[in-house]
Amino acid sequence: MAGHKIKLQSSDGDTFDVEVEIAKQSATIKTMLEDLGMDEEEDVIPLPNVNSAILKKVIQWATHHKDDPPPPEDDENREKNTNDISSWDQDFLKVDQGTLFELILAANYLDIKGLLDVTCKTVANMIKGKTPEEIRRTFNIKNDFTPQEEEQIKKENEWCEEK
Amino acid sequence: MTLHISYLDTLPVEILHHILDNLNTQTILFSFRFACKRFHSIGNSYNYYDFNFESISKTKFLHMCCIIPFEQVVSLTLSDKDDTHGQIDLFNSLFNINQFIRLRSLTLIQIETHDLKVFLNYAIHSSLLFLSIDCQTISIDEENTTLNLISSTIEHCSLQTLYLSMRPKDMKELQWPLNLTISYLRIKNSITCDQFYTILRHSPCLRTIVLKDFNVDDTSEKNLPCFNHAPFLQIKSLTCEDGRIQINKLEQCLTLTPALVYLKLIGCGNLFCSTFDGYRWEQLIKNKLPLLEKFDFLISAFTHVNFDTSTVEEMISSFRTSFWLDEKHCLVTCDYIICSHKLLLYSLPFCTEHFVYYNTDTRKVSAKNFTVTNNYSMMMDNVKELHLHLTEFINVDEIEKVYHLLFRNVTELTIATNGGWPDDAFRFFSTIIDLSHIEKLSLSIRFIDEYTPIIVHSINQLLKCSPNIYVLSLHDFWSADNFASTVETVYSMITPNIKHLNIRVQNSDEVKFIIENFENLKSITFEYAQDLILNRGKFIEVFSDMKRHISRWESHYAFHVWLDKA
Repeated sequence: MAGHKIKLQSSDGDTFDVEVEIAKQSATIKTMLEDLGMDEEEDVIPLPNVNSAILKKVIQWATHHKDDPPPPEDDENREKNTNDISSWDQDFLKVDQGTLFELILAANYLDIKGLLDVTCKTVANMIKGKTPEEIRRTFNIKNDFTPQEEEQIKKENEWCEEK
Repeated sequence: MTLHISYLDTLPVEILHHILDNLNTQTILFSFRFACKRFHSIGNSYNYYDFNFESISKTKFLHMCCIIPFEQVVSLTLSDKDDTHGQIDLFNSLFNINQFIRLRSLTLIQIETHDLKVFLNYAIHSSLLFLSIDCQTISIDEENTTLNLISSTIEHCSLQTLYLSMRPKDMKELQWPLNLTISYLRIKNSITCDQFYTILRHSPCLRTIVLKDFNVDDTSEKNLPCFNHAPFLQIKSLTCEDGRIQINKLEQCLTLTPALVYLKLIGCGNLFCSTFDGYRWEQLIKNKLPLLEKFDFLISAFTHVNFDTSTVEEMISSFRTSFWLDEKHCLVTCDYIICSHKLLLYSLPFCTEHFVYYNTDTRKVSAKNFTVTNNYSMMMDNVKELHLHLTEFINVDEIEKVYHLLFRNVTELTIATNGGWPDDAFRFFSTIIDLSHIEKLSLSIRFIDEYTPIIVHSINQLLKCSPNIYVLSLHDFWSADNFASTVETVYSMITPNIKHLNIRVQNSDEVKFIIENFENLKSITFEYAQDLILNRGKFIEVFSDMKRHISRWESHYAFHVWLDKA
């Protein structure tokens, strides 16, 4: 029914009224609604893995994309195209790394394919064109290779300088 | 700000794999994998590798071949195009394709018959879902064994997507097996209505078909029994591109596909056969395609020199009916380019990847079936290949008022002039094009002494602001009177990002100079003018004396070399 709402509860106890059709972009919520027969406006769906700030962002994203066509099921032959992120999504994802990665985890937990795709593409774009050292710097990753292993890596990468 | 937590490193493996799905193989193998031990292990266990060797130096190709994890590769692209000629043969000498047991996608570009047989013998027993065969430039054997193998492959392999690009004669003789599993078929060639019927009849899962056109020369089909056949309701999308659009022939074939929801037509029309008539298209869609939701088109035709330009307005008025405006919401434009006598009728957003832009817009007559639109900025988003015709005078201030980044997704830019060069050329480029996506730059410019410094300056600016350009082609670059400065001029323009160069040369000294001094190049195409009498033996001698290891081959008036590192 158009406009019918449900309540989503974040890990820190906040509840959000969300239209069912918007919430159903999450396969996790959709399954809960179907399996548990939760269709009353008073029913609350607890989402213990998503905090309030991130849930708010997820709802904002799902509201903007509510009329999108369903994403294709089979991805095996899709092109590796990370330049197709819409300008709205690009602006939406101009956030600090902590928020971006929490959005990825939330999209994964809630099973929202479109949001997971676009956040993963955004991270892929942050990796593209970088050397191992630049990746470490960008994502604060500790280099735990031994000097001998590192020497080997350098050798393997020597001829890789060209594009 | 220094980060204290590595968020990326804390992600679970399945999400990191999802991120890797969006990275190319080289980035995964040589950057991501070497960031830390965990990523090294995740990279090693990743089993959706996509090895695309379409544009790669010979050194890198050989090195990557040493570390291919066969069983973890799902997609493989090999190319014998000019810039990597000999690659497929080399691949076959290094590998047994049967080692690739998880391959789902195989793309073979400009493959020769003997190599194709090897891959077809593999494909026939494989689990491939996607197969692309391009053997357009060679003739398939007379005994039809390769054609039979192609038929057997598409019969026995449960393909979902098939691309075929073959010589028309071979295409005509290809037997389409029964009960094909494909849902998407792309054929580079023209096909007859009868072939179209056969394909539809044999492909119960087919949803989308893309082809060049329906063969206009085939006159034997007027009353084919196929037109009395029950329609094929499985087909939802039909695209005809780069062929001839004949409304009568199309109408016949569309009787077979009344369930189409999408129709796209790109090609040459005929002024005398209603292809520019909105009323005619309206009737055709109403009568034959009642379920059609979207009709994209670009129809062009050359006119006689005295073409009456008021016809442009007449044509567009036939697209101002309620059917086009209210029912189909179809925005249509008609342009008449006066200098080339070319008529273009197209729907918006522009539906094809190639667009020719004349900065002499004042010499163009245009009409539209709409007045304003809020989405003008995305009308040209499908354009990937932009051809710019420049004249000496451009009013960039005026252009800036009308357009801002009209072309946001161009990857191939061609710039052509008739001699002059505008002072504001670079500002013009950066006003209408997002330069960050351009990968290939072609110049059709005559380097007349008077303009050479400003041209070189503009191209330098363009290359500096377009970091992804890796192919530079210089067409019509050479002319006898300024040849001495040719190589030096190129040398002053080229940036380290350029990996492939296409250039016209006159003698073997230039070939030698370019190979030895342009160290960043992966491949070079040396063209030579048709009217030059060349000592080709000398060219070949140069290659054998090179310090760099090269593969070379010769085609029409050109040598192509695929370079190893110096």
